[in-house]
Amino acid sequence: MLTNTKPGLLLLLLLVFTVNLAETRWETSLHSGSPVSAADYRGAYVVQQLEPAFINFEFHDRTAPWAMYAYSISYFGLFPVLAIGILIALARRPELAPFRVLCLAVAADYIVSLPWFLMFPVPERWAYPESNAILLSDNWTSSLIDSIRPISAVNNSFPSTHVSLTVIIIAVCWLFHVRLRLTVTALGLMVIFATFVLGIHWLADIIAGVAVGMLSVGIAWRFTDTSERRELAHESELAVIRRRARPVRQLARAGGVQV
Amino acid sequence: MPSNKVTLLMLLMLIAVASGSRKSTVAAAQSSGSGEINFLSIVVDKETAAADTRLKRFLEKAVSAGSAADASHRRVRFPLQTMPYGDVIRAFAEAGSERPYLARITPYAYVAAEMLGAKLNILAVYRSSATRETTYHSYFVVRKDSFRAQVNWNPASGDASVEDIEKYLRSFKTPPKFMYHDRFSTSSYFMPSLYFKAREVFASNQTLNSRLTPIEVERLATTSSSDLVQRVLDRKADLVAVWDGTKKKWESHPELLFIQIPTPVPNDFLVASGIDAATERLILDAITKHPEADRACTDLTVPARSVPIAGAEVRTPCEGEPNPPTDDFDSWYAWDSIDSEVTDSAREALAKLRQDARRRPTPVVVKVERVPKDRLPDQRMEDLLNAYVHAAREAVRLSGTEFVLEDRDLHKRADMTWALESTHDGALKLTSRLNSGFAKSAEEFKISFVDTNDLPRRIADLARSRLRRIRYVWPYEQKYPVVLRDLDFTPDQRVIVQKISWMDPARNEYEEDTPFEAQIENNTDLSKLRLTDEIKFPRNADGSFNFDPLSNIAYRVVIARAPQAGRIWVVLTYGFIGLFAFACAGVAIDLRRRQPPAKGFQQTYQRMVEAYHRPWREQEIEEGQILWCDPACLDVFVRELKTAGSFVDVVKAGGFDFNFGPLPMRFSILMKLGSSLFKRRDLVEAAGGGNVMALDTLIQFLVCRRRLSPFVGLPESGASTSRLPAWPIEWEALNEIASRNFQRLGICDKRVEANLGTQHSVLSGVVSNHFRSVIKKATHDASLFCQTWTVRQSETAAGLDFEGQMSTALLLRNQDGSATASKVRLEVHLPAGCALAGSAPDGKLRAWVFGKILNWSVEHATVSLHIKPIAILRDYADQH
Repeated sequence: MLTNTKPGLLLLLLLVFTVNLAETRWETSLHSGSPVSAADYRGAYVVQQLEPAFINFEFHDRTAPWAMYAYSISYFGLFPVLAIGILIALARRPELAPFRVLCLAVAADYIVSLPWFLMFPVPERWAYPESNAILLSDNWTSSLIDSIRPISAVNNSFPSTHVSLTVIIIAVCWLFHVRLRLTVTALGLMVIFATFVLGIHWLADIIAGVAVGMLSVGIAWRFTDTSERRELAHESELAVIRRRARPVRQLARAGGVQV
Repeated sequence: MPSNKVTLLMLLMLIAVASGSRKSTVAAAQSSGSGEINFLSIVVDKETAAADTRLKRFLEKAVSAGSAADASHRRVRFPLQTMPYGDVIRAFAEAGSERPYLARITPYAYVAAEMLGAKLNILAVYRSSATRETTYHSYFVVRKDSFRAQVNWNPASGDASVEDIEKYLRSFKTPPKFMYHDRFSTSSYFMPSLYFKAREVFASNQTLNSRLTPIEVERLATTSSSDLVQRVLDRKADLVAVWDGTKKKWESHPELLFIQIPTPVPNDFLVASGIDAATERLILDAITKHPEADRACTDLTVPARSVPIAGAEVRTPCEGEPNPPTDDFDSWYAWDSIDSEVTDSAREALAKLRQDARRRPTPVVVKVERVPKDRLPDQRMEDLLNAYVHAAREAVRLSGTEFVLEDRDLHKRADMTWALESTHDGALKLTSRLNSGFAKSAEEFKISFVDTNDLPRRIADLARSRLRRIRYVWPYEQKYPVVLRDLDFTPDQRVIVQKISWMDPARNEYEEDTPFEAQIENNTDLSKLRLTDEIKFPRNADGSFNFDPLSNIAYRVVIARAPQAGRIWVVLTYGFIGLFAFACAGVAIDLRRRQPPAKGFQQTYQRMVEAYHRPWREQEIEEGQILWCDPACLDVFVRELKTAGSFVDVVKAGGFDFNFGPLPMRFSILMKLGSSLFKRRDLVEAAGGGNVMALDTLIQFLVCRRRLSPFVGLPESGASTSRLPAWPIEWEALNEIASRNFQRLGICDKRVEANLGTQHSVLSGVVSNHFRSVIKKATHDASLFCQTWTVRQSETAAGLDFEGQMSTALLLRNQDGSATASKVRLEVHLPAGCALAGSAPDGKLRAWVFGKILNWSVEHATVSLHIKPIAILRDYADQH
């Protein structure tokens, strides 16, 4: 079974990655001219209507240069570092379950998001002129967005994969007591903020991304073997003792233990 | 003296009473909304001044009488203030709404005040004695002899036309002199200026090109247009312009020729500002009933109204009067009332005047360009860019702004260049640059669009809302530089100003000066944008600004939209600092956080092994500590490690270095930096660095990277514990788990020794499995453990032996089958003749063995582990 070994899980991740790559390529090939269609604009119109009035991206391009660099690094650099970091950290653990929860959550995330990408295409905020937003990282270089385009189509904005994967990373860190979980949380929030500040994602994308991320972790947790979950959860030691060392408990009750 | 004192006292009392009564009058008047109202009058000739005084008195009387009907009788005062055109305009344009004004104002002064933001109501317009209408004309005045000589005009062929004026002006070898008295004078300046502008006549002392006509312009310090005519007669001016009234006075002069400018202009208006509706009503009623406004008689025989109002317009003709009035203000007619039939022509003339005064912004020529063909990768890109260029050209037209597309056959230069290129995701990148004089002026915009029908709209929208716009300083105002506002967006307060000298406006040819910065004082004023008094603006000797409406020199102002980013951007920008601080605090908290208690059997065992090896992290091996070492075996082992390498080694060697867009991701540098920071040493071979160094780096490497096998022998009681640990130490791991959970469950409040391995336990299966897996790992990886050995030395063989009793017999399974073992025997084989220094007389030696398990077997309830040593080290604690 693919999900019972670490190489198998890595293969699963690779499969998700490949499917996403193919889907993005296929979706992009459908457009001969502009990659954004009138239908996509309708999607953008809908999500824009959901935003509160104070969110106005006029003169968004006047954001302080240092903030532009900082958020660009967060979005394009910090996120992959976090993702690879947590992948390695969990892969190095002797237990399989943390790694499995992470990998299954990523797969679930893609499965949940894919129908939205196909049936409710929403262009990134900057690609909808009425939003007045620009892609802030373009003030640095367009190579940044070009580098992620093969795996992230311009009209696959809803829900935000960056946000959902970041939520998965943060959730897994807290679930499995990764030592740098507080740091990862702060850095993850930077990534989530960056999706908004850079003019890429709508507020609706971010909220949906959080929901999909949490749902994905839930699904992955659900599909993780019960015994492993118990062992991994904080209260698991007692359960292990109860299950494997029932006589010890009897021994203790009988007072045959030196206290 | 006493009488003087009494006189002084009475005088003071009189003043007090007088001032008190005045205050009460004003207060009462204000309470009814008709208090003191300034009556402004433009300085002109004495006849007009007398007419203004008469009108003011008539209105005072009318308002006082009207307000007496619904309140106690009071006197309403209209203090008369006489001032030049410009000051009257400013008084209206800059007056607060609470200051009431009435004025008799000329038409262009009215339009100028309106353009500068004055809120004026036209109450009435007068009917002229000279024209018999509510409109008049402006006339150029020339000397007949000069005109005849220059233009070959013959009086017999008919009246001269304005077209002849252009010929007349062109005929001079040196620029002819045009004289005026005030630049806000409609007839003397504004109407001629429109004529000059339309025919490219500029105030300049040189011929700029064959199409432009230079003239010399001079202001005559007078308030009467008759003085201008006199200048023409005196040959001190070649051309002036006057109105019908002046023409009437001088038209019989044989040396003068009056040439009419065909466009009619309305007569002067009676205007009000800040006056309440009731007072306005009183004024209008009075004027409607008494159009003569106390003028003694009328010069006009035909009444203005076709249906006279009862009681009105029964006027005495001036013919035969001993002292007839000489002013032009025959009668006044309400602007918005039943008098509309009288005022219709004036209304139309005013509308035309407004249109002429607020002419379209000067066109801004836009050049659209794209990347040259030879720099494009393929034909597809060529087609795409061509589509962009086409869309941008459409957008210039659709934008409805002052932007006009460059026509190379007409325009000599472009004011703005739009460079188009394709960027990511099919979007268009538009870079807008001002002409070369502005140096760094590029603005970049990325425009996403659906298709080529959508793109022109997007670009046009951008042109309207975001691109910089060019407007000109209004040259009529001399008190301060000002731009008449016609832009809906809030402009940025910082603007760039550039002086240009028109060479040929129709071909957009001009000479440009170095741009300079100026500030808009109040960018919320919807009528005008007043600029700061920059030193680079031209000034007259009296300190006023020397902008000349007739000159070919203009000051253009580049206006950008004010960057009004929402507060959310401030919050989000600085939010990053907050998150960064949170991350730093997170690192500190995470690193300081105690490692959580181990979970499960595996982790607990692993922790125990790490604790067992921990002293070696800081311990440096000394030469005397090495009891025995096999350098050849050591080097082989080091080479194996180096060849295989770990993930970290691969990273360190640059295997994971890559470029992420513009970012060079060099993990190798980070790893090397980290190694140097944490003083990590690289592996060395014994052949190169000696046994001590090779062994030291190797053990450090294995311990720090957790690359040692989990086999730790049979740990003996240390200094901290008195009892002998249960063997194998899997039992200790279980003891640890049990103890921790007993404590958590409240069974005991301190750590307990569960001693799970002291009897045959159901857990022995768990321990057996684990012990076997540990031995298996130890056959692959090196082990480092300490025992109190029995030294075995003979001529044929040498070695170290240790035998211990297991806490509970374990069922161990190997390739030969299963067997129960209750004892453990560790055998370290050394080369024959090997001497180990430091062993006790009883042949006991406490030492660390660093090596691998060669094989293991179970015989006679004893599990024997055969160990191939790499080095034998004296136990540090034992040594000291």
